[in-house]
Parts: sequence; C-alpha cells; structure tokens
Amino acid sequence: MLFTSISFLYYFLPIVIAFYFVVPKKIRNIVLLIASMVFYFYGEPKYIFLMLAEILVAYIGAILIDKYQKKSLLVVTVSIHIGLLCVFKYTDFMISNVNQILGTSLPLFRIALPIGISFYTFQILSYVIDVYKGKVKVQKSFLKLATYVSLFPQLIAGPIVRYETIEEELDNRKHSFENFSYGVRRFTIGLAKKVLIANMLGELCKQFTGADEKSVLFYWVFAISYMLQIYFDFSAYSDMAIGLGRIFGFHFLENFNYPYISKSITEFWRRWHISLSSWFRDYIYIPLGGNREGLEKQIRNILIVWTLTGIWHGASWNFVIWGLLFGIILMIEKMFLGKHLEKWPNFLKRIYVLFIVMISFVIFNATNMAEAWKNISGLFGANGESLINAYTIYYLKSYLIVVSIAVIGATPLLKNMILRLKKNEKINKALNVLEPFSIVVILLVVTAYLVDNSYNPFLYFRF
Amino acid sequence: MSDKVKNVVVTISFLFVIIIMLVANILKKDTEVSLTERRKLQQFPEFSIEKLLKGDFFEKIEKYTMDQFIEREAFRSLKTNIEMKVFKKQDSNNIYKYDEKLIEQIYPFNEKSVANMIKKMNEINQKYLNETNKVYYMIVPDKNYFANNNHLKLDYQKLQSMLEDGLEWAKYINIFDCLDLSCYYATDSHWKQERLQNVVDKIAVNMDLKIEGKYEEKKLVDFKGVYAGQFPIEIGSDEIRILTNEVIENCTVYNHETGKETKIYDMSKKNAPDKYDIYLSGATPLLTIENPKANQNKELIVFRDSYGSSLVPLLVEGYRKITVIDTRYISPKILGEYVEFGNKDVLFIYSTLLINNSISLK
Repeated sequence: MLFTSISFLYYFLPIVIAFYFVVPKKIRNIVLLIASMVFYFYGEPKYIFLMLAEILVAYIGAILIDKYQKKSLLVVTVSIHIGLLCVFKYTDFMISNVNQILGTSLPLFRIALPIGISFYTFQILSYVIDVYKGKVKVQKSFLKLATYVSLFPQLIAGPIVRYETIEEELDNRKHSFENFSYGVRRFTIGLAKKVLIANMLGELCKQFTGADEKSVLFYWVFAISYMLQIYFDFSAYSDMAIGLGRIFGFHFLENFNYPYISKSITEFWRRWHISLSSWFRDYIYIPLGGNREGLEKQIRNILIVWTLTGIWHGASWNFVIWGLLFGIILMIEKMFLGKHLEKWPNFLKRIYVLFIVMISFVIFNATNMAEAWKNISGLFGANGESLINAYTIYYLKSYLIVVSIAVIGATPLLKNMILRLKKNEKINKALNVLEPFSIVVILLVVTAYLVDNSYNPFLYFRF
Repeated sequence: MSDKVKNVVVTISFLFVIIIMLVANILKKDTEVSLTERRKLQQFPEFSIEKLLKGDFFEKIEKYTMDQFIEREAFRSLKTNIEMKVFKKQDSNNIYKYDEKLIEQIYPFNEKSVANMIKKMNEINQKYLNETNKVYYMIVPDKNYFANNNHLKLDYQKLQSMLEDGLEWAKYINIFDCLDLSCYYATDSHWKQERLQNVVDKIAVNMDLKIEGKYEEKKLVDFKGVYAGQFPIEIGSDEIRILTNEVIENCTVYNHETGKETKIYDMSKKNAPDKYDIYLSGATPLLTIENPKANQNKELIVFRDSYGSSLVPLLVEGYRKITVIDTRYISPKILGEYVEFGNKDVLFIYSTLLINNSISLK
C-alpha cells in the first residue's frame, strides 16, 4: 500500500487511527502489528510469510545470542538474513554476470523483489548485532519485535529505524496533541512534496527520456530535475514515515537534512539518507577498523562500504559505480581535497557538491552504463545535439514553476524564515491560525491529484 | 491562537477530513459510468482467495477507491485548475485551452506511423483499385494546427509531403486552407458539420461533383466532447447541429455489421455518451448509403476515420450510392466480399490524429 493512495489516506489510516486510540494502551501494539500486516499484505500478499519468517529467525536468533553470547550464533543469524536478501535481490544479477564472464546461458530466475526487504533486513541486522554487543536488551516478546520490524510507517521505504531508537517507546510511549499535530504536519508536508513536486518533476524527466529531440539544455534540465525529484521523492517518504510514527507516539530519527546545501561530499552524506549511511558506518566501516588502522586499511574500508552502499540500492552495475564514485570522492576529500575545499568560497563548494551529486544521479537513474554515459556526455554537447530546441523550451516553460519551487524547497530558506517569523508572538499566533487551514487545503489538493492519478509509486520502492 | 490550541485544531481538522471522507465514501452509491471520460468505472471487485493471494483483488480495490471517490469530477477539475493556474503548466494530459477551445497537442511527429498509413493505403490500391477508379485523398488537420505557436506541433508540411510522395496514384485535395479553429468543436477533436461548406466546395471542384449545398440547419443536442473529460475545467458545451435537406432525409444507410437500416442522422444516439455518433451512427466498419433522389449514377467509396462521419452526408447529393469503410474495424483483405470497386470514385479521408497514430489500421 502506498501512503500516497486513496486507499491508505481515506480508508486504512482513519480506521487504524480510530482502532488504535479506542483500544486500551496494552493492546495498541497488537493493533499496530495487525495494521502493519494488512498494510504489507495489501501490496505484497505472498511475501508476508517471508517477512514473518525473517522476524521469527531474528527473534529466536537474538534470544540464543543473548543467552549463549556466541559469535557463531550471530554469524548464523546474520548470514540467514543476508542470504535471503541476496537470494531475492541479487540472484539474477549474479547469474547474468556469470553468463557474461563465462559465456554461459544459465537461465534467470526472475524473482520478484519483496517490497521493503532491504529496509527491514537492515533493521533486523541492527537489532541482532546490538543484542550481541549488549547495546540493547533482547526482546522477549515476539509480538513486540514483529511490531518493531513491520511497523507500517517505515516498513517499505525507510528510514532504517534502529531497535535502540524505539526500544523504550515499544513499551511506553506518550500520546499528545503536540505529537499528533506534529505528525500530521510532517505527514502532510511529505504528501505535498511527493505528489505535487516529486511526481511533477518525474513527469518532466519522463518527457526527457521519451524525447527524440534532445538538446544540451534538456540534458541539464533533466539532470537537475532528476536530482530534485529523487530528493523530494525519498525525503517525502521519510517525512511521511516520521509523521505517521509520531502520530502513534514513536520518535524516528531524521533521514534528510537539506543535503543540497552541503559544502563537501563528506557533508552531503551526513545529510542524505542518514539512517543508511550511519548504518554502514556503525555496522560495517567501524567494525572493519574504520580509520584506526592506517591509510591503506581505511581506503579498503571506504571502498568496501561504498561498494555495498551502491549495491544496496539495486542489483545493477550502475549502482555499484554510483557507490564507488562516492567512495573515491570521499577518499580524495579525506586525503587532500578537504583541506583545499575549506579555502574555497561557499558558493563554489556548493557548486562542486551539486555537480558531483548531479552526475552521480544521472548514473543512478540510468538502466545501464551506456545510457548513463550518453546522458553525461549530452550535458557537454558531446552527442552532437543542438544547444536548445523548441521541445526543451516548451517543457522548461511548462515546469519552470515546479522546478523553481523545488530548488527553493531543497534549501532551509523557507523553514528558517518561518522559524524567524515565529519568534514574534503576534506573527506566531497568526501562523498558528494558518496552519490547520493550510493542512486541510494541502490534503484536498493532494486528494485531487490522487483521484486523477492511477499509479504513484516511490522511486525508493525498488530498493 | 496559542500553540496548544493550534495542536488541538490541527489534530481535529485532520481527523475530521479523513473520517468524513471515509464515511462519505462508504455511504456513496457506486457509479457505473463516467460520462466525461466515457468509460466504465471500476466496481467493487469479486473476492476469491486466489485473487487475494495473486494481488489482483487489492489492485482492483485500488482502482475502485479512485474511480468511486466522492465528488470525483470536482477533484479532477481542481487538479487541472491547479496545474494550469498555479503551476502554469502549458498543458494537462497533453491538452490545453486556447481561444476558449480545448486542444490536444498532437506531438511528436511519428514518421513510422505516416509510413504505415501510406503502406496500408498502397495495399488497398494494389488489391482493389485500377484505372477505372478516380482516386482522391484528403488530410483533415487537427486543431493544434490552427492554434498558437507556443505549443509543440507536428511538421504538417513534412506529413503532407510524405503522403504526396507515397500516394502518387491518388489526387491530393488540400483542405488546410478551407478550415480554421472555429470549424471545430470547443470540447472535442472533431470538426463541425455546419462549418464544412468550404471543404465540400473544394471536394466538389476537385472531384467534379454537382452539389447545391442547400441545407436546413438544425440544433439537435448539447454536447461535451472527449476533451472535456480529459481536461476537466469549466468550459461551455458544444452543440450538435445537422445539415439536412430532402436528399439527405430520403437516404437510407445499411450497416453491414448490425444488418440494420438507419438514416444518415441516427437519432437514437442523442443520448449516447458520444453524441458525435449521431452522424452515420459513429464508429462502424462498413456502411452503404443509398440516395434514391440522385440525379447521377455515380458511386463513391470512402475510406475514412471519424471525421468522415459528418462530411460524407454532405456528399450524398453527388452520388447514387456511397460505401463508407473504416479499416480500423474491418480488414481490407476481406473487403472484396462486400464491395465492388470498379468504375467508382474513391476518396480517402484521414485526420492527422490517425495518420500520426495509425497503429489501429488493419
């Protein structure tokens, strides 16, 4: 089920909220668990059993790990989950690579990717590893562990919520109008970001990919639009997840912090998909030795982490190259560029970051490296296309406002302005009157778009 | 409003909207058809365990919730208005408003489709036509041709050149200069019959026909065309008007598909979703029009798309019999079983809409 669907917004959500707040506190987790199962079953009927099996393995594994404190138990539990992730996500990728290298023609299994498997596997891994490390107490209730893993606000597209983040809230969480209204605000902002901005930018990108008559300017429009689309799409999902979590009393950590204002790639990855980059840092990079065992090992560790980050996003070489590109740039920044960057003027640092990120997302978006290369070379006029054409001008005009809103919205400009205005008591009161009105208007406008649209998937669902 | 009060108001407003919508949608009776979109709406799907596990049940539920949403048309209209007025998009669903008319942006130019059209017409020529036939063709420009230049347009010059080069066996009757935007409905892709006199005159000159062109104009019914559904904004209705006279009223139309005889203007279509179907009963593979009041013994075979439906009635005066063929619904391979081609005039009438998207031609 998608958050941006009529079925979720006007059937599932009101029913779940009603049940949740009507039942006694002690069975609210059960309401959430049932709701989460229905939510997952709606979109992925068959694979619900896979998810339940994985939760069961994690549940038993963690109890045994806690009891016997044996590394072998951790290795077995982790291997089962990584093994299942590999089977469902990477089998065909591996077979096609073997076929290409050895010239064989082994048949592909064409296994459908279970929605959210990359996200819930990483949540489960963080839980069992933290139990082994003694960072969190083992969860003796299967229902509570299942509620944590399958919690519908973050189940299918993150953020990767660690067990430690909501360990206490699984047992005891506070519900208040403050939490609820914050959740509503975040959820509604996410809805608007996805439906009104990301989807429209997606339309523009689709016009580019479907165009016979490309121009150098259109390559740039596409690259910038896609970069904005993926930010608004993914951060919108995180907003909605965080908002829904808060409605039910959970405090999920932020997943994005205006990444496009970063002044280095290192900073960018502190602001982009924070739950994933911190997961790789804490469960791969640091256990491998991080930067504590000399430059050579640090380089090795960075390359391992970023290859994995790339492949986590998808079973395709362009994702690996996308990850490695960041790994290499991060190494360069750590070794020498970082010091020079500090001396650059801010606007130049930002252009540097935006350019690298833009190129990286052109690679990320492509179905293969040939397409990625064509779209990159097109940016510099190397494909022999004209500088500008009528087609480009038409679509640029058609989407100018949404691109402009997206550019401004990708910066904290508006947020800072509101915060500053809110310091004035009178303006704060006026804004408080405006807020509920704005939320209702946004809801209705988004509904208009949802009623008119038939299909509305998130980009990050394929991971 | 204090922060505390605001939190309460935000919570209540949100819950109010989602719960009211839930209740309203549950109480609302399901609608069977969307008249503006001219399609059946998804009904509540049949349940079975197999459909549930395959995901088909929920897929249909998803469509059902969207199709049956309360005040669906108003919400669709709201979306189009926001797209056009707030986001200043140049089109919505590839349709835009210009000079109080809804216009479809037919683009890009599909060279393969034009080549396919030429191939199909050549096949008909080779199989059925010979020197005893006088063969003509005309291209009906879509509305986008007449609108302003801010939108993307087909290369109409190239389209005409390709057809001229590929159809040397037929005479081209260029009607582009006989039309302007006012000749078309505001809410539909089609042209208005009552504005086709210039076209008829040009055809008559080129095909050596005697057509007096004296008609009585009658308004039949208000009409919202196909674009009104695709671009749901406030826009006035069109009117279906017919041009009629004694000759037209005495004609009989035999529909080979249904085996029924009707008149040129099919009044049973006054309540049809597409009221343009009044002209020659709408989409149908093969019709024979007999004109008992004909002064000449000439016969005409028309290969046409829907634009031909409103034009052909104005040509009956010049012929004893007209055979109307739509090869989107009948394969040209079997036409020989129904139509005798020798010694007849042949006219191909195709719009740029079909020429640029000719995949539906058999």
